[in-house]
Amino acid sequence: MKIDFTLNGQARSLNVDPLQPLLTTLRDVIGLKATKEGCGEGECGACSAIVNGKLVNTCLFPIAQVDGAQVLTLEGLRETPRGRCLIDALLTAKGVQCGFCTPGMVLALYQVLVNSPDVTQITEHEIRVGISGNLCRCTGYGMIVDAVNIAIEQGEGLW
Amino acid sequence: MVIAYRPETTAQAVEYLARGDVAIFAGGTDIMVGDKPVCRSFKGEPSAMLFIDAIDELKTLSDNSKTITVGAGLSLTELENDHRVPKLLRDSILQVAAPGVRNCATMGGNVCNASPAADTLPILYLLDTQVVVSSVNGKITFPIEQFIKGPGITQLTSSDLLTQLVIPKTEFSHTFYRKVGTRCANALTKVSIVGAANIQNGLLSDWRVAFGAVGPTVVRDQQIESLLIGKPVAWLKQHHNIQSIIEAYKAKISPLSDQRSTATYRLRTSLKLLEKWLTELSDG
Repeated sequence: MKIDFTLNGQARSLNVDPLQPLLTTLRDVIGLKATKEGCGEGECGACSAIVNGKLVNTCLFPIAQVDGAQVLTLEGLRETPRGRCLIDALLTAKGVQCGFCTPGMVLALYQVLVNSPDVTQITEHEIRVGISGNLCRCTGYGMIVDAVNIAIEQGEGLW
Repeated sequence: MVIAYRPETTAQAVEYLARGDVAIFAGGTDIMVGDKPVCRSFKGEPSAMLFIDAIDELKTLSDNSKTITVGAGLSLTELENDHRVPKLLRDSILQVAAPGVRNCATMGGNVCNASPAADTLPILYLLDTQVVVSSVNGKITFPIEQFIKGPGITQLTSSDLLTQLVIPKTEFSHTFYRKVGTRCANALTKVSIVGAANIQNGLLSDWRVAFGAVGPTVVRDQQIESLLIGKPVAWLKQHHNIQSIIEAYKAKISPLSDQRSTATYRLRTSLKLLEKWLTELSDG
């Protein structure tokens, strides 16, 4: 099936099995490796990407539904001021240990920030719900939650 | 490689289905689990897959004074954020998986998957939801308890598409919802219970309860409910009265043991939660 979509701002055209998970397309067909496979069944969030402004588990997302869509992965986000601010905040908070969950975690945190009408009002509960589908077995989450507040402070005006 | 159809109207979708050997792909969050895509609602391997995510008609929500009509293609996130959706249904949606799954999973998919552990189903049963099914031959409406026949089994034929859920608007003075899982997010249900009641002038003018994951389908029994409706709240102050209701449900509940829980745990927990709901009500 012919699939035309925008990946990190660049037009892409592929001919692939319509049921191929977007995760496979990203990693094995296109060769972008930031998006990770953890469980392969939608439970761990390591494969998170943003499709048309929504966080999705790319292991469960068939490429057929990507036709005409805008896809953002960590490779795209890190090229933006907001992405750099959030990644720096996560490093400042020491919210990265083994790093396997980090690409998905950054995208989930980014969604919490960009979906908030007023970032100064974001509650800890909202952050924790936002990353509830992203498992991290190293940090205990506290430092990851702190990163949002650091990003808001350091990225004054960005959000 | 399967053939993929991705129509933009319901009319086109039901035409594809009428050709036969076509499986429906809604949010795909159950279909895509595992190495090979599997549709619970389709026997065998289909030669074509019908993606319904591009059909805007299936993503509309409307309401009037009596009912709310929910498009089957709306994602759980879209329902969670729409305050016209009954609060009990939104509460149950917040317990489903996590945001990444809720952004894709659809209301229609949760119904057609017909899992005994589906989080939205007990609420849909409790609220007397009607299910609207379309095909090239027109529309049919089923009460949800007739639409779902067993685990993964519904009235849907191979040429049918679930298009809408029609939920009566009912105000309740008292509600109760609990889901028991191993963790707060991303846990499938061991047991769930939803209750709703209206207390007017000290009388129970309405009382309902539905259980999830304690049998092949949701357990709701309107005969037992009728034993309570019309009774004064004070009737629940007598412990033996509460006990008689619990005994009545005990006979209706037949949980299984599986990888998530045991039959004994499910039976005891569901009845203890029922007791909690009745005791809460007796306190007004």
